[in-house]
This record gives sequence, structure tokens and C-alpha cells, in this order.
Amino acid sequence: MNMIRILCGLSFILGLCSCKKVIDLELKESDIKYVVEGAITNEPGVCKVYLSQSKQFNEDNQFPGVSGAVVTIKDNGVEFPLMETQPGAYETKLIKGTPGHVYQLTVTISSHTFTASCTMPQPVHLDSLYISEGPFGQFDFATIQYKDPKDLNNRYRFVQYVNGVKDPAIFLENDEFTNGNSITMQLDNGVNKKDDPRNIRSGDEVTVEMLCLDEVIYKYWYSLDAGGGDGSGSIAAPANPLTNISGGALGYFSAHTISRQKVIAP
Amino acid sequence: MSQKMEDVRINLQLNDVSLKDAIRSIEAVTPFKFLAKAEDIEQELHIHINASNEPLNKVLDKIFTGRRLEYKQIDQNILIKRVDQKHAPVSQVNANAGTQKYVLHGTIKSEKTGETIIGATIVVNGSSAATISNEYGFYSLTLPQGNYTLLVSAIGMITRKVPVNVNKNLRLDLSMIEDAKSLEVVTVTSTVTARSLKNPQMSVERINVQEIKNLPVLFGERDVLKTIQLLPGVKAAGEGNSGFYVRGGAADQNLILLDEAPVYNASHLLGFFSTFNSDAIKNVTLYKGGMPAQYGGRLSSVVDIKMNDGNNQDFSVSGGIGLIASRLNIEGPIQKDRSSFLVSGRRTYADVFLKVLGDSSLRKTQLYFYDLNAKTNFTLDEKNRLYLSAYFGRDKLSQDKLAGINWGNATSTLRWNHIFNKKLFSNTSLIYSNYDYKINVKTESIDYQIRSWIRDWNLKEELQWYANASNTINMGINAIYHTIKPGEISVTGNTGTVLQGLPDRFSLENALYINNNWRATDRWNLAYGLRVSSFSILGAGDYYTLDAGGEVADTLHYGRGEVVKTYVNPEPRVAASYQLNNTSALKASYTRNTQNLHLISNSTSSSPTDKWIASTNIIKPEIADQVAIGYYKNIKNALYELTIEAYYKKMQNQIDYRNGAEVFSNRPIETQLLFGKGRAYGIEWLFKKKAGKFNGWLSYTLSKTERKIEGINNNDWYNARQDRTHDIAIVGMYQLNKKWTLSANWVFNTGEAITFPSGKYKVDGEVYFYYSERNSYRMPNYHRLDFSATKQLKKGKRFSSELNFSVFNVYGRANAYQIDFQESEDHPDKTEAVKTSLFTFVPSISYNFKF
Repeated sequence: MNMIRILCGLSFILGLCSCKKVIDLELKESDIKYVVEGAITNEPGVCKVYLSQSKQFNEDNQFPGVSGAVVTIKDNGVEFPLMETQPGAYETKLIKGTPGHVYQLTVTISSHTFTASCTMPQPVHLDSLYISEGPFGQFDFATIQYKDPKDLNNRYRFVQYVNGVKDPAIFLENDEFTNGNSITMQLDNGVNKKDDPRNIRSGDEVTVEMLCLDEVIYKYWYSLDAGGGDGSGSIAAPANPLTNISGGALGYFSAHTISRQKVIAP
Repeated sequence: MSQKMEDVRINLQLNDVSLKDAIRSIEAVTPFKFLAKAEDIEQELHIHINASNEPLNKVLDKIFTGRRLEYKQIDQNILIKRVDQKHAPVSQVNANAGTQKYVLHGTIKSEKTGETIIGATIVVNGSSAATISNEYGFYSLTLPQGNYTLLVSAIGMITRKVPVNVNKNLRLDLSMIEDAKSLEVVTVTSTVTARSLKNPQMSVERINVQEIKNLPVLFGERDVLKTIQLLPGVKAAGEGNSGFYVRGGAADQNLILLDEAPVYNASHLLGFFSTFNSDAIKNVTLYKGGMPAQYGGRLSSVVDIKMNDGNNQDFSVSGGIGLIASRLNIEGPIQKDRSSFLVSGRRTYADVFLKVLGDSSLRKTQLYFYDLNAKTNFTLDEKNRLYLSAYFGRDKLSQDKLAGINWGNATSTLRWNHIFNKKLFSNTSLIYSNYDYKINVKTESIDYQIRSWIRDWNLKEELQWYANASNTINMGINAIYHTIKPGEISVTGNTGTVLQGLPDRFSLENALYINNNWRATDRWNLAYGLRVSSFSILGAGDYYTLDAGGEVADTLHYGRGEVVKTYVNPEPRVAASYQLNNTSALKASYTRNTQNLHLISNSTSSSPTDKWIASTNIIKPEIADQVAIGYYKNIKNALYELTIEAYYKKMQNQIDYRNGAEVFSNRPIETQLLFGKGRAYGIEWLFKKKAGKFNGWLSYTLSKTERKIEGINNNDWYNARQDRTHDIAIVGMYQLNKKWTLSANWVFNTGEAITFPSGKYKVDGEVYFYYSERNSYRMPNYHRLDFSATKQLKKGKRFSSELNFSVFNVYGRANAYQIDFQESEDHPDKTEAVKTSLFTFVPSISYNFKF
């Protein structure tokens, strides 16, 4: 929220600082939920499902995989089993995603069955990637260019890696207002401090993946980001994201295409 | 208990002094304070007193012999007044009332400024007849032939006794004198105005801006909308916020009227200031329930704000310089007694501080707002008066050239008061109101512009017919033509423009109403009426039908002027009062209200981009039914007042965003919404001390408000965001001496209902939070003490000035503005809750002047 930032600046000037403090809150215990994170892409060898569980707020941030599930994927009706390669990680190398195909995931663990369906959209090519100055000239951000196809309803997610480390920001775009345009977009992750480790510095290797998403998956990321999934208190009514998984599990199953560019920051 | 003058004996010798000095000497040796208008006593010289152990009343009798002055004791005060030649004293007893009835009518005004007085009470001594002046100061009273004394009282005015001999129909225009503030020999007391026990109107609070001028303020800006939050049943929308919730309703369910024009966004700067510059405001009336039939269109409350008309006696300039804003108000007669004007402006200068600041990103930031009020009125003749008033305000917020937002309201009202005859008063209004915002966002390749507005043309005709001694009938019609641009996003890309024009939405809101106030018996008073509202959605435009998942199933095209749908809602209103005895009464009311304009918001702070949308074929009118009962008691000659009210409110067709709704999208808004119902109930206590050196009030509200919306919280009832169980406000003002006035207020409320995470999980390598029930947690309890001291610097006939010091949140309570959940910075393997507090100990100073 830029406005909140300005306001905080203003109150600082007036000699009053908005202050932040870590507090103890008694949060209720919640039911443990299964978390399914499944993806198939148009790159060879990637059809993975990771199964884990949710935890209570006060526990640590380790989310070990859940073993012993039966996981299958259907490609336009043909079923393939996924094998557990590490605890909670299920994979197959037998299929490669094809744009236009409908994929159906089934995960069975003890008495629970979770199913999801997703259509892989047509790929769009990420044309270029470079590093440019941000709005105030103090910070540099990755900037990407691509040509949005003429047909409506293209949805994108961009994932940025700096020296192999993924940036947590969720960059989403659709073509509701820009259909058919050549798009230049700066991936402004909101960094505003010089010492933030997420800053891009000279010599850093920056990789950006452009994911073309099915509508249900765009909605998932959008609602995860806008619905307060990250714990932001400025959302009046935070809620869980809209998922394509039925059966009561958290997470998503995404069939998406990937186009990738890499650059060394000047 | 105040002593009687007869019981106070004094020893005093004075030789050839002025009356002023004599009064000072008497004040020094007695517990009494004298009140008088400067011009009444200035010319009175050559006073001799030679009193030894003599009762004070005898001493005063001697002083005033031969002078055209009279005196009267009110509590500890002795009021000195010039004897009015026109009205010789008349016996107060009304033994000679005849059977022939006559009508007394006229206008009540302030003597000093010529401002009409709203809500002045006229009680007839020796009769049960009484009335209240209307929004234009007009009154009409039917009485049997005879001699009476009228007791005329109003907030901030000295109660006046007017003897009158009713032997024919009479026009009697009355003028009143402002209390304390305009007096020379002063320490005082505002005058006690008893809450009317007879009037069936309940759940109403009137605030005179003069009355609240010494209350503590944030950043030195006085704000009527923040003052009403100190009343029971009214809750602040957030820390330092001018938004408010009334009896469990949402912030958009308050009808805020400025000289009858609806104000769609009554706040500046994310809600920290209201759009109402108190310099320009005369009077605020808040209805929490039992709204009279002339008001409609919102569920929860009516805040009826009337601007000053402009002084038609003298030119006057007043203003103030505060920490972040300055104000200037100029008013005066165009033609004395007949016409006047008023111009009042305010602007903040926080952006000047930003320029001084080192940080380059802040230096390029623009941040300010301003308000401009203007009004003029003309008395054409005894029966016709014209008013033209206008308001214009705007906020501007921008970061360099990259992103900017500006928003504001513009309203204008033309009114014509016409007195048809002694019993029939008419007002015709033509009103324009506009609220709009513009957002610009510049990115590396694409410029976005978002525009939205809501614009009204509004025509009103109201008749007040004082039919006879026991019936007063109000009736009227109202037509509003709304044009809404629901938020249009346009884009300028580096390869051309893709314009997404969302067409304007048109609608016509009509209402017809009639209401009768019936004095059934001496004890029973009834008000009953009906408002029939209709809302027509007009083409041109596309309307939709949705499937079960909320997606568009079908699109219907309508041509220009075609009626898409008309909703007609009868809104009955009934209220009754039963006077138990001279000092107490019971009242009850039932009211139905409907609302066809809805504000859609999903942020915790009031945002200018919150969307106003009209009812459509899918979005149904919101409906609220409220029943309320109340007990009213005046204690010690109405020096104290106790009010207890309980209410239950049922709401239909309430609106909320779907989970994961896209706020900035040009897709039909209906696809992003869910509908359901609400209920709210509570009890409100108000105990007030209305006069004396120390006055103030204590208010306590115990309440509950819930929603049940299909698709939220497993379709179960859940607490509305604004649900706060306990709400307490203590307000006190104390006149320390002639120079200093102190005031303080303390507020406490249960934290609002909120959704906190109840678990966490990992996707995409990041920790995210899991939510279960909606609003099942509470923010920490909120409390805060504010303090203010006002020093009178100069108090001359021509020029007066004062200095106000305020401290907001004196004991620095770090109230939670927002709570975020995040991975701990120190222990990345843990998650933590972080509280943000905004205002802890905010001092401010402002200088006000008047000449």
C-alpha cells in the first residue's frame, strides 16, 4: 500500500511514528489439512506432486512430506501413476505436458481422496529480460518483455530467481486491459531498503520464468496474494485462496507452460 | 444547590462607579456570576451602593431603579437584560384562556448574526402546547386566546421568556442571544435545553458546533464527525478515523447530508479528517433510528449537517492556524437583515513539510486536501427566502509522476423557503452532488488511468402543515437522477491504447412521503407516516444473469432510457411517546429504511477507491427494519439528563465481496459479490450534565451485530467487522476561570471482530496462512485519553483570539491499527504477529481568531 507508506512518512514528519511491535496472540488450534502442490509443465520430465500438511501457527516452519499416498494423473483420459521418490514427493517422467490438454489429478491418502483438473494453456514466449532502474531510481528491478497474443484471456505468472534463490513475490498479469499488446513489465517486488537481501546487485544472475496459467490457477495465485494469505492485516476479510482441488485439501494443481530468460545484472 | 439572592447578605460601599465595576465587586463577595450583553450595561454609570448586611436582591433593586434593566437568577448566575419596551410584563398565569384559537408563527434567529436557529424549543407556560423550530427556524403554534409566556430555548442560547397576548393570528419573529461567548462579564454555563419529552422523535442527537469547540482534537482540526462518535450507538471506523458505524450498520449506511446534498465520501486522507470544516457549520442532527419520513435512502443513520447562513448583521472574519491546516471564514451582510454571504476555506500544508524532508522519494510526494464552503441567502420578502450553498473539496496524493490519486466531492444546493400562510411552510430544493476520483499509475511501459464518479441531480419539495393544535403534517416528494461511472480503467500502452469503456449507469430514485405528528393527549404523542421509495434502473447498458458459480450466464442489452427494473418499497414509520410525569417519558418507534446505493470495500481503512454501485437486477435494495424503545429522564430542572434506548435491527440483502474477488477489474461487479442478511441489537445509555462550570457526558453501549451471507463462513452467522461488545465514552469540559477552559475525553471499546489465521502451510516454497471462521477473533481492546486546554487570549468587542492545546492519546496507549502475520525476522523458522500502532501521544496546537 503506497498510501500507507506515505501516511507513515507523514506521521514521521509530524513527530509521531507509527510503531510496530511483536505481540503474543492466542490463536485457536485448527484442524490439520492436507496440502497438495501439483504441477505439470511443457518441459520434459516435470510432473510432480508434493503432499504435506498444515500446522498450527505457533509451530516451526518445517513442513515434512506425507508418504504413502496413491497419486495418479490423467492426460486426456489416459491414466499415469506417480511414484514417491522422496517422502511426500511423487513424480513421473512418462508424460510431458501438451498445451490444450486437460489434466486430472487424483491423490488418495488414508480415507481422503483429492481431485483436481487443469487445462494447459498455449505457450507465450518471454522475449527479453533486462535490469532497469525502479520508480525512484534507488533500486533496480528485473524487466521483461513479451508480445501478448491477439486472443483474449491470457494469464501469466512471473517467477524471479536471483542467484538461484526464488523471490517470494507473486507477479501476476492478465490481458484484460492490454490484449494483443507488446508488454514491458517491471517486476517490482516492493523492496525499499538498501540492505534488503532481495535487492538485485551488479553481477547477480537473474532468471525469470514466465508461466502461462489456466484461469483457475490464475485465480488461485490472485486470491492467495490479495486474500491475505501472506498474513497482511490490511485486508478486511482475509480468506483462503480459491483452489481447483476438491475434497478439502489446500494447495493447487497447475498445468502451465514455461518460458525462461536469464541475465547477469550490469 | 444554588443559594437564593434573598439569603445572601452583603456589605459593600461603592461611590459613583460604573455598573460593570459594581458587578465585579458584587461577584467578588458573593457566589454569583453575572451575565449581560456588553452594550446593555456599558452606558450604565454613576452607581452608588451603601449596603450593610443587606440581601442581594434588595441591593440590586436599588441599583436598577430607574434604569431600563431587569435581572433574573438562573442557578448561580444572574442574568441582566435590557427591558424590552415592546413587551410589557404579563402575568404568567393563564387563567384567561379563551376558546377561540389563534395561530402564532414566525422565525427564530440569533440576534447577533441573524442566523436562523434550528431546533429551538418553544414551550408555553401554563399550557401543554409546545413546538420546535424547523430547519429554517420557522415555527407555528396554535393557542386558545389568552395571555401567555413563551419559553424559548436552544442549545448555546440564553433561554428567553416572551410574554405574548394572543387575541389574533400573530407573526412573531424572535431573536435569541448567544450565551457566555458573546457576553462581557462572563464565566458560564451554556443554557439548559431540556430534551423534549413530548416529541415522539427518539434516537436523535443534536450538536451545536459552538458546544463542542473546546473538545480535544487530533492535529488541531475540530471535527463534528469525530464528536458524534462519542455518543452511544455510534462507533469510530478506526483510529483517528472520521468514518463511523451506527447501531451495527456499515459505514456506507449513513446518509450524510450537507445542506441537503448527499456527501458520498465524507473523509479526507484515508479518513483521518472529515470533509466538514467546522467554521462553516451551524448544526448537526444525527438520527440513529426512527428517521422522520423526509429522510431515506440509507439503512443506519442520517447525519443532517446545516451550514451557517452567513451573518446578516455585521461583517466578520474568523480563522485558525493549526499544525497541518489553516482556515479562514468570511461572512457578512449583503443587505443588512435581508441577505448575507459566507465563504469558508481550509487547506492542509503537510506537503510543505515533505518538501523540506531529505528523502528524495518523499520530496516528490504531493499530499494535501482543501475544502471550500460558500453560501448566500436572500430574504425576498416576509414570505420568501432563497438560499444558495456550495461545497467543494479535494484530496491530492501523488508520488512524483509515477502514481497519483485525487478525489473529492462537489455539492450545490438551491433552496426556496416559502411561507404560504401562518400554517403552511414550504421548501423547494434543487441539489447537485458529485463525487469522483482519478488514479494514474505509470509503469515501465503502460499507463493506467482509473476514473470513477457518482453524480446526482436531486429535486425536493417539502410542505410542513401545522394543521391544528394537535396535528403537524409533513409531506413531500423527492426525485434523484443518479449517474454512476463505476470505475473505468483505461490504458495507454507504448503500442497504442486499449480503452475499456465501462458505460455510465443511470438510475432514478423517487420518494413520496407523508407523516403526521399527533398530540393525542397531554401524555401521548404519536408520529406516524409512510415513505414510498422507488428505484428504477435505466438503460442504456448491459445487465446480466449469473449462474450458480457467480459467472455471467446471459447478457441483456437495454437501450437508452429503457427501464431495466423498478423496485418499489413502502417504508412505514411509527413513533410514540408517553410522558410518565413532568420529568420522564417513554418512547418507542418502528422504522423501515431501504438503500439502493451500496459501497463495496475490502480494505481496513477508508479508501477513496471504494466503489459506489447502484442496485441492479441482481443487487437488490438493502432493507432494514428497526424497533427501538427508550426511557428519558430530566433531573434537577434538566441540568442532568438520562437516556436509555434499546434497539433491534434486521437487515436484508446485505452485500460482501466473494473470496478472492478482483477489485480492479472491468468485469461485471455482480460476479464478485455475495448476498445475505444481518441483525444488530443493543442497549445505549447516555448520562449528561448540560450546564455549569463542569459539563459533559458519559455514554455506554452494549451491542452485537452479525451477518449471514451465502458462501461465507459455511453460511453460518458471523460477527460483522464493526461488532464491538462494549463501547464507553466519557467527555468532560471544565471552565477553570475566565481565561482557561479544560476538556478531556476517554474512550474504551472492545476490539473489533477480525479474521486471524488459525494455521499455516507451505506452497511454492513460502509459508502461507490458513483461515477458518470469518471474524472469529478480536483486535485488542482499544482505549485512549485525550486532553485539551483552550486559553482565551484577547476578548475584545472587535477582536478575540484563543489558543488551543490538545493532546491525543495522552498516556500513549499503543492501540492496534493493524496486525500482520509474518515469518519472524530473527527466527525464520517461526511465525509471529506484528502489531502496528498509529497515534501514540500526538500533541497539537492551534490558534483561532475572530474579528
